Amino acid sequence: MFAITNARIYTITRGVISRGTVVVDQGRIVSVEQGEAPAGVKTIDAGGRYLFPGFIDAYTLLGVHEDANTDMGFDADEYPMISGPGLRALDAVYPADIAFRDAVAAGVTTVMASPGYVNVVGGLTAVIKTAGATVDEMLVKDNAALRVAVSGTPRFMFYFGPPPVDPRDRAQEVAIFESELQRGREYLAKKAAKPEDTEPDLHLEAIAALLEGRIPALARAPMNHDVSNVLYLSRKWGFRVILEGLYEGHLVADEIAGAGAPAVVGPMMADRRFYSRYTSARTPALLAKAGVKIALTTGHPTLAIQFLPVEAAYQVQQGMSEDEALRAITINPAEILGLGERLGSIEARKDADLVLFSSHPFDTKAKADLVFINGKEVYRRDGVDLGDRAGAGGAM
Amino acid sequence: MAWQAYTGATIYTGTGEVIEGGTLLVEDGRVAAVGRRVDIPSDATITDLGGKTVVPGFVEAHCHAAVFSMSDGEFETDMKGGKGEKTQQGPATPDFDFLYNFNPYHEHLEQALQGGVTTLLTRPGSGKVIGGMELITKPVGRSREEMIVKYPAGIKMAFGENPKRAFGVSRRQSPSTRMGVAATLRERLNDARNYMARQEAYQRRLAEWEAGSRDPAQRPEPPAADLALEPLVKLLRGELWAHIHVHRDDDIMTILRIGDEFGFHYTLEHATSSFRVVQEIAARNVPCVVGPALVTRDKIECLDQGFATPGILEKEGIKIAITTDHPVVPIDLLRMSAALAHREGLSAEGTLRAITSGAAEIIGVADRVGSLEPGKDADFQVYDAWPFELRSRLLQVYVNGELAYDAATHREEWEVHYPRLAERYRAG
Repeated sequence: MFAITNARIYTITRGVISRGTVVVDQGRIVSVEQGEAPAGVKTIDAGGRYLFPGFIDAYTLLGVHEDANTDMGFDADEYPMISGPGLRALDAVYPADIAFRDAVAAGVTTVMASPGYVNVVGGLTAVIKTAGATVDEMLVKDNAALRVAVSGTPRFMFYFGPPPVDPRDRAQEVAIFESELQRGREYLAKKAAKPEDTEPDLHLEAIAALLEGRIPALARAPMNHDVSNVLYLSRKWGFRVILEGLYEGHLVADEIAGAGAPAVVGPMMADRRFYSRYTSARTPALLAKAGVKIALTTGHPTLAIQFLPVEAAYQVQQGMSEDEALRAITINPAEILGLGERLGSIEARKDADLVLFSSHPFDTKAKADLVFINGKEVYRRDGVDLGDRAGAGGAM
Repeated sequence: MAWQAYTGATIYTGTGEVIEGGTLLVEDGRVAAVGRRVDIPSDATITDLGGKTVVPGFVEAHCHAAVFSMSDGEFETDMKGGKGEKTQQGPATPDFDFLYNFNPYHEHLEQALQGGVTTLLTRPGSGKVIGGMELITKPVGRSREEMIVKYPAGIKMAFGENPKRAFGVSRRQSPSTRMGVAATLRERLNDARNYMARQEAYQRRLAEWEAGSRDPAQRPEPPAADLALEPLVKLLRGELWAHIHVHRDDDIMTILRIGDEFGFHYTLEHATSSFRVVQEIAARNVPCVVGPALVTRDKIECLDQGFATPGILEKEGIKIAITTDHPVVPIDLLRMSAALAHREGLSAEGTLRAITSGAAEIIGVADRVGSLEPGKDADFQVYDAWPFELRSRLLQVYVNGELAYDAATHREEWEVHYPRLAERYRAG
């Protein structure tokens, strides 16, 4: 057990505590209070620093697309397979990827690691923490969503050479996806009628999980008609959807809000015009205004993972409220990933993923000084001394 | 155009000076005066900028704007070339006339303006060892001639992985190694040197002939012209600079060696690992155009990439500029890129300088742009706070004294195409 005291605590869900203490035990937050640490507990004096919950990026290729090694370290798209529901991002995550160090040093403690968007069905995603020796140790939630891209993927294929086979347009991509859904539906029906005659099929199990509502689709939707297509398919086949990309999302904001679909938007600090025409740097703000639950994202490696908080500051520059921008990299992605009970805010019983910043992370000179994941110190900036080396360190 | 006075602002001149409650006086598109006490002519139009911050228009020293667009499917075609048949496919096309790829109506220029960039150097890509000639332009103007600030503005060259990939890997041609890259540049520089010697020898013989016999049968023959070498002759004569794409420190050292051997002006572009050989660079006074660092390290040679480099180079007295390398990082994020370099140690003054006067000096246009001083182009921007505060907002951009972007009245493309939608969001 240890306590971080004398901190300016941004709980996200319960306001700001100007001078407070967070007590941590066995990887979880025990209490969040105004005032001093309880007697007898080892303490870290934050010296008035800013304490935030670890930031969350709900869509990345982190560890799957290895930094600085794009030739042999690229494992995000099993493109010759066209559609591979049973592929699992977890099998491609490389914990020694230097981008994990960047993530931790910027206070990003949880990401959804996903396949890319070259395949119609890219595979199963995994929610992971950003520090650990093995991906099993980092894992928060396996098979968190099924990656789907029916949004003109062939355009990207053509850039890197002609696609080996179809699809060549959105209609063909949807046709491939729907044939997967149809086979999944038949598989489920057969399993219900004659369980003993139904041989397990790893690919169809993933589709079945989607159709039964156990997992959502993480659907690429860079342009406005992609959003409409995906929402239509989700109604037609009855599956849940997390929209991703949405560079033109503001054009269909009411439709998204009406469907109650959450949106992982961006990154806006990227070449958005590559993906869409009627994009706006204010898209996330306009979506939030229309009542859509939004998370901001780097889409690492589209934007490097360490710039997630900068992406949020950029949204403030574009007119989003500071509070909304903070929620969009903490509690909103946690809830979108179905982990709102465990992550995304500083509250009792949640994971002790905590970041001590030198000042507000939207300040130009702000730096993460100390980062905890599951109550364990995973990063300390060079030269930062909180007089705790012999204290709380031993408790971790 | 008459006089325009902008009063009451905090003015950063771009040369280190900060004037509180200052006035910027503009006449016919040029800065007439700047200071705390400025005599404002009685017929001047006065704009009160009380509480606002004024800085020079930004200068992007390295980008590939307004020449291609990935969404147009024109990627690469505009980045390569070379008009001479002999050089068209080769790794060295110093005569590549980049000017004709420049599209003065390109959307990138609008994007530059929205990021406060009022001067930009756009250039060929980095697939060739010698890529071709470069262009400096403003994002607005009544004609192409009025927009272009300088052409040719330098010669693009490249070292390291990119030429190796473009030739060795993609085409199975030389250069396929770092030796090959260096040899390609040395050979062409040597060709240019020999070409110059032939021309000089001819001039000598011609002068002798003119002073002597003047016998038409004895008149010396001029050497064969080689247009592809003309830009390199200008380089060796000190009339043009080479701007050399390089990441790794060993490649930087190779460039320094070749520079020492042949004697010409050059900059290091990207200069990712420059901090490892900072003394060597400083000793030769080579400017560095650093960036982009807002993207992931997309190649192994970019392993050292980060925003700390500008601050390290600044401490050694090396001239620096910061770049987005648009469209690698969108050009409107030049300000954000500079702010993050400030976060990692670049001084406050150096941060502004790196995308204004410092950048203008490096690309050779400081006589016209990059700072707010009498006689210079009235290219400036208005912010609600110091522009390197992450939350600060750009309000207006002026080019040649004319309002070119106004956040309050600006309509994005979607707002023009979907006016009813736009109206709803504005009303809400």
